Amino acid sequence: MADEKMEQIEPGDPEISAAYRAAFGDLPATDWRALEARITDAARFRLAARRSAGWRTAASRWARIAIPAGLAASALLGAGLAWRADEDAVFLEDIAATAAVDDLPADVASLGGESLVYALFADGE
Amino acid sequence: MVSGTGSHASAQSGESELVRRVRQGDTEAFGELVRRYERRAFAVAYRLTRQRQDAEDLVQDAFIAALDKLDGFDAERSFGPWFFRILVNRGTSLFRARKVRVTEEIPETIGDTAASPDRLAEEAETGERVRAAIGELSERQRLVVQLYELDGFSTSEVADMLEIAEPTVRWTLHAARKRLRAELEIWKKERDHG
Repeated sequence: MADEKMEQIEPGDPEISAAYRAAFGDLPATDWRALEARITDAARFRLAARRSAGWRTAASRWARIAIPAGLAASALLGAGLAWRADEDAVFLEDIAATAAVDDLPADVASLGGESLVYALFADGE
Repeated sequence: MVSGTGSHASAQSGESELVRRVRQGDTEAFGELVRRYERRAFAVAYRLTRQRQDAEDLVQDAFIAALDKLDGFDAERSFGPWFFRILVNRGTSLFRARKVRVTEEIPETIGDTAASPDRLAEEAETGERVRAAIGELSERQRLVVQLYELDGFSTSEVADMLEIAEPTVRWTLHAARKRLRAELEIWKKERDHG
């Protein structure tokens, strides 16, 4: 066994190769292009499924970013609109207070925009 | 040696990229992977099945199985040994299922009609002698001999493919050669004297 371990196995011994070839034969001729086409054809649906899964993964990755960002943007927009409404309410309260001081009609606070301007002018006249 | 290592690393990185593209469903990359490995895969498959059509079926089956398992493959490693293990495992299962016996099969390439009758007779007798000489080898040991001696796989590749230790591969080759040389010597003497 020890000498067997020491032996280096060298390829290319013609006598040994010829003997093995006689026993087992060479590889038969094969149409490699046809085999390749056959294999890639068999894999077609699996590859398509992988491409599709890739799109889904990319879409879900974007969704993971886009949905929270969209929600955050919506929340900010909502908060902004609410703040704006408060500002408008404060503005109208100021007008009503000014109107009271200036002895304008009591319902001036219910007026807004252009109507308010007309009311003020009408009162001035 | 250094440049060889460099080119190996470069080929490895190219192959990693190829595997990454196949994972994404790139048909062209898959075709390239098939082109790289189909010839050697066919050699292994043919040694396992001993039939051209069965060997082609096995190669196709192994590539499809590899594609199914590709997400579990570490792309930083070489694709070849992993792929050949799949091929050998599937081929061995097929072989067992069909209960093919080496003595029942005549290789397709033996009996080339272009050779002369004397040559054919000599080859047939050599073949018989070799088969007798290595008849005690197990199926797996016979596969070791064929893959190394006939198909040009290295001892480490054969070991990796068959999931056995490399010294076991070397010992198998050595033992088979030793028996074969002894048998050929006897045959030569018989031929010279008779």
